[in-house]
Amino acid sequence: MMRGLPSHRKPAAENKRPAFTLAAGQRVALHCRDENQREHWLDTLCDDLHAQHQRVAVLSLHGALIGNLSAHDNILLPASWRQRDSDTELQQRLGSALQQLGYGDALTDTAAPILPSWLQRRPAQLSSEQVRVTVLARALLLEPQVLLCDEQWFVEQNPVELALMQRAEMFWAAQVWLLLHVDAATALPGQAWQQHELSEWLMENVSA
Amino acid sequence: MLAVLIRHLQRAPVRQVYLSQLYFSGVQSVGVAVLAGAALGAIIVSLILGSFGQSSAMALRIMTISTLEEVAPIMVGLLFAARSGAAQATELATMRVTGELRTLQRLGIDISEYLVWPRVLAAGFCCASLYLYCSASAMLVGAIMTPQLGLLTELRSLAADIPAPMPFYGLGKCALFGMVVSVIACQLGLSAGQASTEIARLASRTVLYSVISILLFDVLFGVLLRLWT
Repeated sequence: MMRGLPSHRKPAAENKRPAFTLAAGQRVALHCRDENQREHWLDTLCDDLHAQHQRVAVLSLHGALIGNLSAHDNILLPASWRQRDSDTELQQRLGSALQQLGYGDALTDTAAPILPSWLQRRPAQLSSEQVRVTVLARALLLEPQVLLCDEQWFVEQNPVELALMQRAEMFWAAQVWLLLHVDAATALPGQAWQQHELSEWLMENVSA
Repeated sequence: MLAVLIRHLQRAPVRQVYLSQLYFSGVQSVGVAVLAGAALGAIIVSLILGSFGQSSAMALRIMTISTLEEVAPIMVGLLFAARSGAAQATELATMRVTGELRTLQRLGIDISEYLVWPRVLAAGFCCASLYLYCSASAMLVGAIMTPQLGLLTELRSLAADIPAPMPFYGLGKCALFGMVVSVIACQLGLSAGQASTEIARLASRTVLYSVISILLFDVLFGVLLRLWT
């Protein structure tokens, strides 16, 4: 259990560790009873997937970016933390990730990509669209096997953000998506999501 | 230990935090450390000359020994607690409240390794460096205030009079004070809940606990030193 999480009474299954298997491309929407339960299980699932050495990306907007780092440093942070690629390789991958998202107009030289100037800004100075691009680019650099997201990611999208999300979804068509939501009406975009109650899904997937 | 430290600093994000802490707590605090040292030097020398009627050379010697052994470490520790300790606690508590710590954990980033260790190590290094600036400034001002044989001659004789282990004792003590303050700041900052009102409360509590810890550790150092010598 992560430190500093709100404590609340959970069913017996919620106290166990999930040991689930998901097929590639599967999209599971899990309905949570409240925000506390959603945040708790986002934390727990991330924790467990990291422990299983799975590559995980989180698409969540609350506190998504570290305030004292520039957008550029925010994108590189988790990939750089894993120390798999050199700085040059990361810069190149960042350039191509931004290009994939439609922000690579200025990319002329892949060896030393010219990045958009807003990447040097702090998160508080970014527009909502730029915040989403930053989070998506960070996730792209991680090359995730599993994508965890909440409903905030899907709501209140303007047409530009919607187009951005549709482009991102194309790259991750084969990945496993886990959506934890409280409000199903606003949460589910127009894709084939398998819908479950979180507690029931945990009962079925939790290890004995 | 050194190998662990080097491996730790090999991560670029950790190095970045470490360097930014060195800049904020070290480089940006040099001015205030020099000013505090100069003020201490002037106050102690004038006090000894005015109240105890000692010779200028003796006044300078007493000031130097008291500064190197006790006053500079405590002064630097208190300055560090007030400026950097409070800032560290505030920064971490804000990260907790805004959900940034949660995001780091979800990204698989170890909070201790990324946020705590660079701060603690940088604090030790910064306090040791600030101690040197503070002491040098106190000695220089003290020597200026007791003009007998000329500034350079006085500083040279002062350097010859100081017992060799004394500056190292002060350095070690100062580094420990910095690390203790930083540990307290990180512990309190990370213990914040979800309410923004906790940020100010934790910052002020950090300063209070740091001051108490510095004084207690100083007493401990003093007692151990007397027992040892």
